[in-house]
Amino acid sequence: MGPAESKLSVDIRAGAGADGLGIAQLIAQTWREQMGIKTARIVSAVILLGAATSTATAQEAWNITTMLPLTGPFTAVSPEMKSGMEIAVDEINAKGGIKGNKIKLTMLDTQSNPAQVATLIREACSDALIVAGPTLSNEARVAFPVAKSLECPAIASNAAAKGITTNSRPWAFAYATPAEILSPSSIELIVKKLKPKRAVVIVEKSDPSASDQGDVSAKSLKDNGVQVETFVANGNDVDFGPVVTRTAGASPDLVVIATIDKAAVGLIREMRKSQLKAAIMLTQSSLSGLVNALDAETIEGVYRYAEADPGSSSDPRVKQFVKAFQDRNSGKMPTFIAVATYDTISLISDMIQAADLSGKASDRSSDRKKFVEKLSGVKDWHGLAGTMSMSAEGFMVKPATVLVSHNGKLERVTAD
Amino acid sequence: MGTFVQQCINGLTIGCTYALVAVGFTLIFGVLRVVYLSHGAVLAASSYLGLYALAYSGSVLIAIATGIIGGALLGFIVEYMTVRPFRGQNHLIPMVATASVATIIQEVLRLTFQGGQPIAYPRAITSALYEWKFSEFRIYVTLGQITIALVAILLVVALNLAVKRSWMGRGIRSVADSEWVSSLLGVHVNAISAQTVALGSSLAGAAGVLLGLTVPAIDPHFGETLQFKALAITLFAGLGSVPGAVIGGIMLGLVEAFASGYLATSYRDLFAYVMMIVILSVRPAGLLGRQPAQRV
Amino acid sequence: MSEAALHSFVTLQLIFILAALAHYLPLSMRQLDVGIVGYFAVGAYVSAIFTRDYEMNFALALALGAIAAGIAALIVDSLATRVRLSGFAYAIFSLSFAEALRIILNNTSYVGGTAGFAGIPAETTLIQVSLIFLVVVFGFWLLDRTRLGALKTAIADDEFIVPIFGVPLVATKLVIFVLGGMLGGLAGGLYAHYVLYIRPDNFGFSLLIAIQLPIVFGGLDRFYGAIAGTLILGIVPELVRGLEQYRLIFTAAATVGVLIVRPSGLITFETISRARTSFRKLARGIHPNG
Repeated sequence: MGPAESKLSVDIRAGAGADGLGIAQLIAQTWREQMGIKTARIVSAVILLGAATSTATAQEAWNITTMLPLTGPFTAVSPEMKSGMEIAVDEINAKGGIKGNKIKLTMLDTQSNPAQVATLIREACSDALIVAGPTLSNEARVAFPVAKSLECPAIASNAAAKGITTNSRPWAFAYATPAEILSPSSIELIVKKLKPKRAVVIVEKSDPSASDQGDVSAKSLKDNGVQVETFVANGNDVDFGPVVTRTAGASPDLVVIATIDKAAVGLIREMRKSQLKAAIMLTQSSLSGLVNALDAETIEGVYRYAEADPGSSSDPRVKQFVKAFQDRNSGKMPTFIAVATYDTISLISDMIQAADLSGKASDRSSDRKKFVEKLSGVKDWHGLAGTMSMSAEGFMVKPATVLVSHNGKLERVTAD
Repeated sequence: MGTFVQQCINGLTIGCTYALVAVGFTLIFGVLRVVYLSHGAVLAASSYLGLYALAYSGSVLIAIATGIIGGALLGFIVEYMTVRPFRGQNHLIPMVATASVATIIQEVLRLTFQGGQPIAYPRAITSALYEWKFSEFRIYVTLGQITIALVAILLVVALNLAVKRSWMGRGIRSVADSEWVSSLLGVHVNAISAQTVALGSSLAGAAGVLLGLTVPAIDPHFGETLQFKALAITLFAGLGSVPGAVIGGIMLGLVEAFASGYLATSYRDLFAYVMMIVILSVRPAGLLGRQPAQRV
Repeated sequence: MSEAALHSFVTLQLIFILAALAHYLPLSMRQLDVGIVGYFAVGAYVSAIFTRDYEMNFALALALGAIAAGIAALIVDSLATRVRLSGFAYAIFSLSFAEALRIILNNTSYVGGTAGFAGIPAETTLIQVSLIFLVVVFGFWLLDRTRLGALKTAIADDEFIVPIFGVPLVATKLVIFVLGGMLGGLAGGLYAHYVLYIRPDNFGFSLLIAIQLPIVFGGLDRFYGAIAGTLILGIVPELVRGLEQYRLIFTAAATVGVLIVRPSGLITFETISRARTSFRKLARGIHPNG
């Protein structure tokens, strides 16, 4: 009766699955022959530990699963998204949950890998009532067709790409408003206000969301009678001198930056250095905590549009959210990225309440149908980002907010 | 006219940045003759170290010094784990080992520092702007960019002297020519290998901190793109040739600046790869390199 | 894991094992052709274009994807062989091609550019992939027993001596490279029709690491090393629940660890011969360690 055997009996008592145990035993035995007893024991212990800790716990809770890139190349916005969701779940559970039962949020890591998304969406659809994910467009595109085939509701919080929900109705939804709707109204406003004759749009082609917003902005500018030139930048550049010098050479009155945050910061700084006289407008794709961390002098007079901006809102609920976020993130200011995930959870919670779902495992498919019907018909829902309604294509429509930085604070812009 | 001059300046400053990264890289490559893929990760790690040094001490010089020392130490550790044990074996193994270590370093950075979100260096004196106004146009450059250029030039001179005149330099040249013969002649190949990697990595460390001061933000992966460009430059200019790395770097910088400045191209990154393919097809030793003794 | 998720996991693992085997072919000859991600991408895109836009039969589209990838491998490798590139220069050469392809795809609006290629019809099933897997494994087993396999091992042992014995060096190498490319393209096509949405950035450096590390971890001596390595590094992080954040570190650390301790990888010639002897002894009723 060696140590390996006693480990086995401990796990039997802990209730590990019998099949996993048998296979593990067999593997352990064969490996023992080849790898040496010590290694085999360590490996067996590891495998059994895994089997033991994956015992399911039955609960009377609302199971919501989300998936986001916690590891891998796309992880930059994940901490904010995670935080937004956690705050929402904690607040709802502190008030007693939905219909007396708490929300159980499971977060899965997509590893920035579409193959993993394909597997996780199936797991999420079998474990959870509603899937609050994936969060990003690229991952949503992989997951939504699968969600549709499994008749499982899936809501993407930050996926603003064109047409991701189109082929997966009625099961797929997107909280984010796509660029086709956000950009034109914002561009119109800024054109009315500043009356530019020539404009330059700087696009980051390597990011689909930025690329989308850049293309739509350029088109809107043209539709509003402005002469437009488009140049390309890349966030990984060490120096934004070339593209800014070229921009300056085009003598624009307005520069629209449709890149992601690193490039936006680099471009703004470089433009200040080159003393470019044009007005600067940031598209939503450029915004993140990094841009908000710029000092007041650099960001002075820079315009931006977004679905929402928590920092400048006077809504007490938003202020409460900002405080909760800052408490958990060492004082960092949230952006609409976190607002989007918070609102998605709130929306799900409100819909569950409104559709009077039962929450029992046996009623799951009827619950899901009721949920999807309710969500498809949402009108004038009040989220942190404002009042919004669900479109027929499956994304939430909300008006864009155009803001400008003055003395380190953001103010709303109106056409005067 | 003003645009053209400014683009030249832009190209030169970008080029010096590339040169800085390429010099350390070419040293390591030229001596060890293995695909060393950890350079970018060491650069990123030193950049983070420099960030905290700057935040605590407020001095740019201390930050650079921290980057140099940190880079050297890290390089030493990486060499010990990934290059030394596999000397003389199939080239794939050190390539995979250095790639693995690079992954580990990047993941550790991601886990330690705010989940991989880009972090900006605090503003320092390197953002001080210098400008010259002419009647029609104005050109400008920052102190940080001037520093990078100066350091790059300094390095060429210093390293060239070191490699040609010093004891260590002799050992390095000997091992670069032939490891096997050097060991026969009593040169401690392992020691030379470690010293070279430490030296190259200290350069990566300096580059990391200087870059951190000039780019908008750093993240664990920002060394990767630079590493590939350094690879292209190294191959183009010849393995182990320090002046070649500097010249090659500046050339690439100018090409990229003019491509961005005058062509409507998002194919800009393609230049580096095409350059590598062409060079390897036509003259594998590079422009200024010597034909290495061939034995796979 | 639920049944559907397990299904998906196994399907994708098998696809990645096919890609690993495709990458293994050149590596087993000590030729550092790391263009696998490029061949994978070619197979994925070509077969997806044919099924989505030309409504072609799946098997035919897969075949075309594989052939296209094989041609790509032929181009890259014949150029490299002509110039007689050495070890690492080869690696950089092939990697440059793969990266150049990725940048070109990112800029080609017909295939969706950076936004990717969506709407691929769902064709790959677990049964298909399992069958293909079995056929491929059998093919590898067979390869080791044919003349081509023997030539391949000879080239791996000493490339420069081999022509003296009348071995058609370049022809053999190219055949193996093209086989590797075609298998990579096949795996890519299966992948595209399972994941249903592909972007050029999926086929970059992280995919290369994901395919290559497990092969080296598993051992380059025999093809079972590639299979075992990919399986172990793919499955263990799924079993140990707390490992999510550390998955990548685990893979990288395991690879470096194994390399330091056993540079030939987990499964070496020695392991295989010991396993065989133990097996034979067991069959004869003798205790293996006796």
